[in-house]
Amino acid sequence: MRKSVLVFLLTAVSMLLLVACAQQQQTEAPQVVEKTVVVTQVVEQEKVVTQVVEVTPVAGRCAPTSFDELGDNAIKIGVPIPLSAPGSVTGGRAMQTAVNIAVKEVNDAGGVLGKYPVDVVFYDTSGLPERGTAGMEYLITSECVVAVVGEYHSAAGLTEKEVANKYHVPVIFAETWNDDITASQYPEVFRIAPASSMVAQADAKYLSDVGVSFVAIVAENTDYGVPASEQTKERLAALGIDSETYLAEQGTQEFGALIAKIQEDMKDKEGLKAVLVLITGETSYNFEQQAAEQGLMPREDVVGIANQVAYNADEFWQNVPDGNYYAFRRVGVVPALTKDNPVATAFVEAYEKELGRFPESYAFEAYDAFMLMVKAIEKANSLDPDAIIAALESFDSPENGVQLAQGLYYFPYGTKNPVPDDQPAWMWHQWPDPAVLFLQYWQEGQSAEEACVVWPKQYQTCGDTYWIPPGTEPPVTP
Amino acid sequence: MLTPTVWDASLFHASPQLAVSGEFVLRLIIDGLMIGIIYALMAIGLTLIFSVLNIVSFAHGEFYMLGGYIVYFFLQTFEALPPLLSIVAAAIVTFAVGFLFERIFLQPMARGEVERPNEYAILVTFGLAFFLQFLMLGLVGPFPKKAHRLFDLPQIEGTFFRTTKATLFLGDITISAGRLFAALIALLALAGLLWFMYRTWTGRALQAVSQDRNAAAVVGINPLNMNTLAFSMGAMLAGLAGAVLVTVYSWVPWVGVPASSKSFVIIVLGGMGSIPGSLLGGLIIGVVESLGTGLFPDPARAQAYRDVFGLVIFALVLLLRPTGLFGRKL
Amino acid sequence: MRRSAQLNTQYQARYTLWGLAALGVLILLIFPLLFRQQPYWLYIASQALFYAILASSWALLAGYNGQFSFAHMAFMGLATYASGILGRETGFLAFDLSPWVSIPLGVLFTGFVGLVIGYLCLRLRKTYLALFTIAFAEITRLVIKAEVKFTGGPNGLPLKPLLESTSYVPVYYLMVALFLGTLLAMYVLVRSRYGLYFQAVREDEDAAAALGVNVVNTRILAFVVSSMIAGLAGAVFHHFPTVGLVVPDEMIIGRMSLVLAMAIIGGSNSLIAAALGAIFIHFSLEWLQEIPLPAAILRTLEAHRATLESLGFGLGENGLKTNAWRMVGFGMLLMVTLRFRQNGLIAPLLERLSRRHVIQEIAARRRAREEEEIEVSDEPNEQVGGAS
Repeated sequence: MRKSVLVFLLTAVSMLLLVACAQQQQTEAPQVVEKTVVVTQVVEQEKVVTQVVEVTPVAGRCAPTSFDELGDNAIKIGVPIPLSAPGSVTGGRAMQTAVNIAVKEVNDAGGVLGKYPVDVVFYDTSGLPERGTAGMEYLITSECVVAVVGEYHSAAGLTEKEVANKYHVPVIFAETWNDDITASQYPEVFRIAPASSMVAQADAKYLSDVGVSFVAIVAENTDYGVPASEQTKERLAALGIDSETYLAEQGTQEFGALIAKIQEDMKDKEGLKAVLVLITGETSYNFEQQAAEQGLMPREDVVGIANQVAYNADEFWQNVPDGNYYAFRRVGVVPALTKDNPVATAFVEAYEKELGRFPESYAFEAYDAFMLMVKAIEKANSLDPDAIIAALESFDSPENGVQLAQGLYYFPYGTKNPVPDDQPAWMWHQWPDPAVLFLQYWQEGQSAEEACVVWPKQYQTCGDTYWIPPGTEPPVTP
Repeated sequence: MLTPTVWDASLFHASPQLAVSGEFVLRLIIDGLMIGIIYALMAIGLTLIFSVLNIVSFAHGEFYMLGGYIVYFFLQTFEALPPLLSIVAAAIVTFAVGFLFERIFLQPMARGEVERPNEYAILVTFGLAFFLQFLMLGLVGPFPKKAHRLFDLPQIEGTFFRTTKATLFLGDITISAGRLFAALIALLALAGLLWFMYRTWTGRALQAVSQDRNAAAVVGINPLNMNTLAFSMGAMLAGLAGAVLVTVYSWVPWVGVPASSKSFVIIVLGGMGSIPGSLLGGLIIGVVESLGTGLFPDPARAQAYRDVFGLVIFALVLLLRPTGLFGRKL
Repeated sequence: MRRSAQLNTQYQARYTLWGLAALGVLILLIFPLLFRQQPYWLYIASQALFYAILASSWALLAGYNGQFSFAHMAFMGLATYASGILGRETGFLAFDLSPWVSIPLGVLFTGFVGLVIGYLCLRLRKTYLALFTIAFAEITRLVIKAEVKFTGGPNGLPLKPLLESTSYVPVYYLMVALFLGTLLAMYVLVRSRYGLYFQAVREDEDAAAALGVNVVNTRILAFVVSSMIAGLAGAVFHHFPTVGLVVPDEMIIGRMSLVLAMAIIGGSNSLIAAALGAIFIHFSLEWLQEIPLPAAILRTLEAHRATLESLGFGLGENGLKTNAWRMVGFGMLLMVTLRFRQNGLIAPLLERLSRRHVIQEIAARRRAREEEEIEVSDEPNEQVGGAS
């Protein structure tokens, strides 16, 4: 009796499976028919056909490929960002705010092309690769997004680009620095953040211009800190500058011993020295404040380069009250450079209203990535991925570029103009001109706008000096 | 897995000259001692809980986090009041939270209403940690906060001894004022605690319960009340440690995680349940970490392996001598 | 006559159980058809199954054997890393193996590490074991993170794809097979003699030893089996073409606590309840990212957008974004479950369904006894009383 029950259940299950499989085949057939219907509809309008016919429908991807298909719905754009640990929640929140401002701006103007409203869908990736995959799957196949912008963490970005490639969905990465993001040269993947090699190059150049002879690189032990410290060390060596790397775990509070060690290591080094902080978030503040308290830097003979988060003046002075004369890198624009740019001023104003501070570089990038995607859709005048990618690639030189909050965007290398041999592979679909500046505070409690831009030469705001020694005033006070 | 790379790469090539100056070592030791006192303050709280309730609180670090945030918000809100009051406020609030949690979630365990109490204790304190972390993340957000210094040092210029606003210089040795102040407050709290434990009736009652619950009950001590008192005091000590350190470190909702794992290491090293053991364990871990980081030959890994050293000591103590330095028999 | 009635109740109970199991399997099998146009939910389902395997194998160790380990995620990661390192083309210990070979080797390696750790942990009970396994998990994670040249460090280790196709349907079915396979294997194990040993050791080690149970072997067996299953789940899941990367941060204690909470909320005394708990929680956390609300309520909330956002909530197009607060609720649920429903939320349900027959059976037996008027001897009770 028991056996017969089992046999019955087994047959029932297998029957159901068969039915299910059959159903799958059956239902897939009309799906294909549906697609052809779309094409035949479009064939009547001759112009669009050439673009649409190229579309190879990818199973699972459900985004509309034309404005007709969109109907009354909003154009959905997906934004994967970290909103929980182990991801950087700080970064994720800032990017979320920036994108929301962009959405509001587009919709207040009536939407894309003045008539199609946009809608944004965020996904919390926690900065983990597997969550990156899940996020892209969700956005593309469940929310039917037309395009994707965002991400803060390279680890998640690296798996996201695979999914984008799989479903053929254009994506603009906003803040993932890892060279490999663009180095795999997927047609769908664009980046407006600097590649980490570009930043390392700028750091090395600045330090060499200041004239230091030895650099202590203090980096966090993460997917950002480790490659960044290696690249910087390499480039410093190429410029003949000696350096030493010190890695620290993210989340460390106590740096007393490490600082003492760096001081000890620097004792016998001659000339001007520097400490470069490649740690982000609260850990960088801990290091910088303790280094200042213990007299490691900034001093007459030690240039202190704080992490770029120092740009948040209020937060910086609260967390590093003794941090006067710290220099820091700023990727992206500074207030002095946004004054004549109406896009930037509007965005800065909206962002300050939301979060009460000047936008971080990743906030600028998130806003710009979103706006650039909208501009590309407008130029393509279509929701077809190939058309959008073609539109993005048509921004191929400064003359054809798009001016947004942070600068003039263009992508010199892509399918039409492959990356030449003398350029690194990551130049593919890479914006080549992210502004990398160095600023320096020289008065306690100073706002970021009052800080001096000390590098590069063409942007200097405080006279011709790369470094204001502690205790002195800059040659020119703005 | 650890062996091949650590040995071949770092230990031999990294720094050929291992000339270490005495002043450098002295500085590392002073640094380690100051931090060690605060570690000890936290660990003693955990020890107190363990000795009376016989559980390890996995939410200890979250009380530390809570204490820091209370000082921060107190200083932000009540600018007119003396800043030292903020530390008192932190102590009161963490005590109260500990009290409530013990009454609601741990008391049933002591009353025998819970199956498999050991696992229950681990999990419910773990749940509290999880809850408090995300609660603060929701309420305060992820952006780092830091309380301003409670006072600036007077400026003294001298050849050997001089000060700036935040730092004392003794020759080549630097001492951060905030850290020194934190260590002093911690010492005060420790002295108060020891006085309480050894000189007051309640303190002795706590000790009695930790030694023998039944015997204590016989002489008229209510063990349930002592449980509540011990847990709340333990939470308060962690809160105090956070309260004095929020002026030294930047504060985020997850600062408690490394702090509590440090406390675990210390109480195991010192012997679970021993107050002198935790005091000594805290100082030892403070100094060992400081010296380990300062003297580890490969600079790249020195700080990255800092926590590993502590944890390896911890695992070894657990395996080889689970009673630690001063512990009673298991 | 009476005997056949008794058999009938037994069979009825079996029907209920088998019927439920068959229904569960059926849902698992036809799930892809319901969500064919939404591979995302398929991916989430495969992820949920991955967590289900972890939770149920943790329940085998903690619930059945009473060994409280925080190192489960570390074992998961170890197997994945071992398999990835053996499978890579260049570098130290690289053998360029196919994932079909490197995964079993990675799992074996994990089993070996589990053997060593299980042996080391023999002396440790409860709290000490928990602390030791936390230390082990953190050391593993930090060393993998620090040894950049060997493991890829914080950037993670790329893994070879296990399957050619990047579709989620085969991935999902592979995960279902793995889930059912491991669950069946664990079920067979706990229903065997060893299952009884596990529980005997959990309840009272000395008593178990006195009854002739080899305590050492039993504890080690539980440790090895559960860590190998965790390792297998991790290695297979991360080898999928759409994941293809493992980073050390997946082993943080925070993620371990998630698995643990899944098992607890489901019910750590039952393999299937722990697995169901994992599936339930994984889906609900995913769903809670944005709670759908009717438009009317959303409009009311819109007026308080600033307050909501300052509290860490957000307003989406169709609902309320919960950000950190879903985790707050989850922590609360964990504590309340522990306090008031020690057996979890799902296990008692299953229990009730499967126990119904036992009640009937007992009633039938009692009736039979009354009819036959068998006297029950009181002797054993008296003996116990005398001994004390």
